[in-house]
Amino acid sequence: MRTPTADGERHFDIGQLTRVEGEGRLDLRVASDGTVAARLRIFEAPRYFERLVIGRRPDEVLDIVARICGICPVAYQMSAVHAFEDLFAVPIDPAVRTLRRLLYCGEWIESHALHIFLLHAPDFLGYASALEMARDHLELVGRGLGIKKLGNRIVSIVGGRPIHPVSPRVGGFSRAPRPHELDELRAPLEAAIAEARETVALVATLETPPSDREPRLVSLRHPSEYPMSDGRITSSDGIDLAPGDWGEAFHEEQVPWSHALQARAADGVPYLLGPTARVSLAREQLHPLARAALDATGISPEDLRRNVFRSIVARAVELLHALAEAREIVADYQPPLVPLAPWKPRAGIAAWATEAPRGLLFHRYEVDRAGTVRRAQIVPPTSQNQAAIEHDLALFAPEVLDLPHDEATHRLEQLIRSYDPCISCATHFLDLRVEHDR
Amino acid sequence: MSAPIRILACGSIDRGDDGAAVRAVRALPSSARRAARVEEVGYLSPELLIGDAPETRRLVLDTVAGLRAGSIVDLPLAELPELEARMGATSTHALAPGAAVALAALLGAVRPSDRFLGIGGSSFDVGDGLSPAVGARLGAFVERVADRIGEAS
Repeated sequence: MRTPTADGERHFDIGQLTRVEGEGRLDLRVASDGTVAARLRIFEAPRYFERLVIGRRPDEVLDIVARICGICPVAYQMSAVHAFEDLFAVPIDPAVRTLRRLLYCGEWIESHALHIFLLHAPDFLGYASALEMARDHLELVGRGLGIKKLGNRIVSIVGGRPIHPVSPRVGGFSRAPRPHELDELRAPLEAAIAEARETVALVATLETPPSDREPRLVSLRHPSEYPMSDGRITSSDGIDLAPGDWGEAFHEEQVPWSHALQARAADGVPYLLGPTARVSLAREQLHPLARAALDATGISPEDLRRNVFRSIVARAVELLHALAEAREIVADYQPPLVPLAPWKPRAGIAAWATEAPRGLLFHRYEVDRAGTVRRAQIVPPTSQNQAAIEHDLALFAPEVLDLPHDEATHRLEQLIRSYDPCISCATHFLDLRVEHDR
Repeated sequence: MSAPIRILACGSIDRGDDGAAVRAVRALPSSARRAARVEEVGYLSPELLIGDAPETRRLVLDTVAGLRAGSIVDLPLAELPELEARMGATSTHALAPGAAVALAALLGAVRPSDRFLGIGGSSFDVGDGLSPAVGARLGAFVERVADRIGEAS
């Protein structure tokens, strides 16, 4: 609801954000002098995963952190597995590394297809929900669901089941698929690539609200491949760190209106993660098909970066990238000679960042000599994007103040959905105090 | 030869009553488990209902927030959106289960033989077990699921 107050303040209160994962609300106040205060109130209950992994061994941690999200469990497993393998200096078979990229492609395909076709497209096409949109655009929804199903299948074949995979282990996989098991993916991948190319062209034609800001972008970058599990943490303004050194440039802080910690750069400025950041910073590493599709849209790098609503284009480009890369991996697949490398624990800090569908996901574990976790920090992408969302809402709000209330509310929600926030992922408390009655 | 049966168990076992469906399928008698293909799917997404052979019968199991804790609902899957609307239920998922079924139905992927079996839940906190009311009725829920499998096989 919107509440004009006696002193001229206007208040937009979106009590339950829809078409996002998890529970949150928006509280936006515009003072009579035009000052805007935006608060993304994340009230979903804290989930304490950093505490749940304490006292656990690395492979148990993989199973536990996968439970953080039903949409991006692979990302949680990949950040953790790389962190432990880096600390323990585990030699990884190159074919295992490739298979992990295929697993990650599967997750990106599922997650991006869900967001593009079911969560975000209705905003642009003028529908309140995917269901309403489907009544007029059934083919589009069917296409999205078909691609998502293919992503599920990839995760299922490589990871052992479609959500919360069970086969990733420190050292590799408990079971690597046989080549014939991947054969069923060939034809669907071929068809999905054609559909994804059409999708890039389609979403590039969607009319966007006016939006112009210069975000600080952060993503992994790798010299020869599109960022997923390897590379350095980089930013559009010169940050360049090893994947375990996130804490050297960024920190988390508690804000009173959210159950999720917010992350900021050392100078306090918000930053943007996810498809827009990756496509902007690693455009040269996109699969040639994806790069060509993006070029063909005619959307300039500046427009893609500066207009928050163009994220649907970046996400569609990444969907095409993931499908094209998956097709190549499947075509060339050779099972690992050593699917599961032996390893010995050692004490130290295990830290790594990988690229979840929504952006950089950082894990840090303090591990004792037996390999048991003594302290953990998990920084999901939505926690990191929260401050950028609030910042962009404050910038964008003046554009909608003259619109009818429903239309203004819709535009504000559309902006939030541009980030594809996963609130369930973000609700971690770093610190938990338990007081016992004596 | 009987029609194949597919069980889609929704929910997270680590979130209190939300794990009731997963606990139920794990507690099924071995004969019932052998007669069906059981999948723990986390949350119901429309594509899970697309692509099955026409003769496949599907049972979707989930906890229902808003229903009296421990009460059991057993209805055609196509009626789930209506139940959800009647209860004014909200979902923490980007796409609510009822919307997922309605979308699948628009695509012709929901059949008269598909059923939804739900159990009312009251506690969904991380790390909790089942609430007393749901714990007390879990056995009845398992029996209902086994009966439905028996009827279909």
